[in-house]
Amino acid sequence: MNTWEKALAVALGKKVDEIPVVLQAYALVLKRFAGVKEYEYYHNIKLQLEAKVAFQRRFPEVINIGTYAEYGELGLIPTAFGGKLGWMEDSPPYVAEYPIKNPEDVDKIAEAGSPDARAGVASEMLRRLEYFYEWFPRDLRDEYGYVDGVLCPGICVEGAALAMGYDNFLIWMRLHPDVLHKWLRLATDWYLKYCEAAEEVVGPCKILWVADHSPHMVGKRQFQEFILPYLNKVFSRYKGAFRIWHNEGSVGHMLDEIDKIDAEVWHFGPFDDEIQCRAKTHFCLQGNIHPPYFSKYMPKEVEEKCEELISKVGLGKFWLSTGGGMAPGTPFKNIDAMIKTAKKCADVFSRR
Amino acid sequence: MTLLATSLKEINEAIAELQSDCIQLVKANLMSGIPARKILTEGLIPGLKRVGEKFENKEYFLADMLFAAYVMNECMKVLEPALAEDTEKVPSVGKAVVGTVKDDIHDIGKNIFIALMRASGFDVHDLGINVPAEKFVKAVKEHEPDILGMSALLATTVGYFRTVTDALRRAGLRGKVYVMIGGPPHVAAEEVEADIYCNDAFFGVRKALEYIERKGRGMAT
Repeated sequence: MNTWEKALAVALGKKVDEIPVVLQAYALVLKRFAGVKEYEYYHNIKLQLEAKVAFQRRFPEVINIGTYAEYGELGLIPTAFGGKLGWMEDSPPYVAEYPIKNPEDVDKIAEAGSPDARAGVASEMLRRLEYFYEWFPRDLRDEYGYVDGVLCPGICVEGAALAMGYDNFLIWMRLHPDVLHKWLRLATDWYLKYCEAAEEVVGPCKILWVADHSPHMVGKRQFQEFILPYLNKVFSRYKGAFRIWHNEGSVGHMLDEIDKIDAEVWHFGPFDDEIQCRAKTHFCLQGNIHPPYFSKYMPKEVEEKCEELISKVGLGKFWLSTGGGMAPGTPFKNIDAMIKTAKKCADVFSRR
Repeated sequence: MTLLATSLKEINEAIAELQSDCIQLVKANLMSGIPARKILTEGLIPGLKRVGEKFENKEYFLADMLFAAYVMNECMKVLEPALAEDTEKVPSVGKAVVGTVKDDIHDIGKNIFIALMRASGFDVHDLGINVPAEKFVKAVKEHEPDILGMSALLATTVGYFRTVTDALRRAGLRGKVYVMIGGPPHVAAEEVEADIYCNDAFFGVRKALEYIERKGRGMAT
């Protein structure tokens, strides 16, 4: 078994004597490997690929879920429908202009018909995917399951929200629910169209990674009505693939509903109770050491926190990670300490 | 219960239960002759406090807070002309300058905080998003606020809180303003030389009011 196959077996409950360390190291962390600020990291695909490879070579025990071609994932849906992406020197990109400013805009969008799969930043994202497909080292793809058949289209319902701004999205749940449903249908249909275009580049989907933090902004009823059906429309389209949902926002108030998300892994955050998440959901949990704390701990503290977490969740269906993406400035020695603790705990548990 | 009390209770109930017809209710009551000041101080503000309590009890979430802030803003648009003409003014509780720090464009928390601060009687100057330290300093010099509120969401931008507090110190202003910071708990107030970290907007408003009270008693720190 290679590293990815082992992690997959653990996630599916078929292997219980390992604790895979599965991190999400992306622009915030990897720009350091590239020695550049964030803007340059995003805009220099060669440098970005080299940074991802360098991270992997430095931490061969780790699977990095952030090993995909990054660009403006958060702007994927908004820019496809006419929005604009903004860039800053050393921060992530943002949606600088919303395509939907009032409810009538949704009707106009519907009348115009679904945009091309390469509309907006999708064009550049697909071009980068092609670059990764051509140049990402074969040995790492084979060992860790990267690139081939991997879809990372970024935020989904949350992307639809960013086409009008979170404020409007959340307020319209009460003011214009029908308009919102119409928009969510259009947005998620297009999102799937983009996924199909990405499959033409990397091959049929084997792994789907979807980030969506919108659930933590709402209560149970709104989640049931405005988020779950659309998230599951995407996840269910790829039944048979291995599906990862990333959301470190707190959703402990509705774990029974969260359990209905049709994915195999939940990359969860530090604010939800691990034991409850374990008991009340079906997911393989990926998490959840607090990223900014992880970046400030001494290695000894990392070991203690990881041991404490592992003692709560046990072996099987668990990937040790930070609760969300890694924070900038995380010392390498802390990642080493996490790896060491995962090995030590797996040995201790499996001898019992 | 008098007709007036019943009307104010309805308004209180409408905002606390997040009903958008609260705005119509405010309009109707204003037209029926109930003073804007009473609608605000005895209807809307107590109702909004209940929203805050429900948020703290995890009955309400971010979407609910935003909607409450939206309803409050719309109600204030209805009330403001009448409040301006009222001979018995709603006294200003204090002044605040608020903004999201440089390189950060997240403004949900900031906007909710501002809506609640205004509803609580603060005169608030909104500096917007992506605000550089010099703009914070300039606004503090110009408006002489009691409170400076800074928001940041990104792990990469919370460090900028310190850039602003350093700039305030260099300008000789740090001791003259109560610095409140908000956003995810990436940073402790003392690390960036702020006065308090606020986990949510309602907590922030409560602490702002407590500060003003302390200041009024000459105990502000």
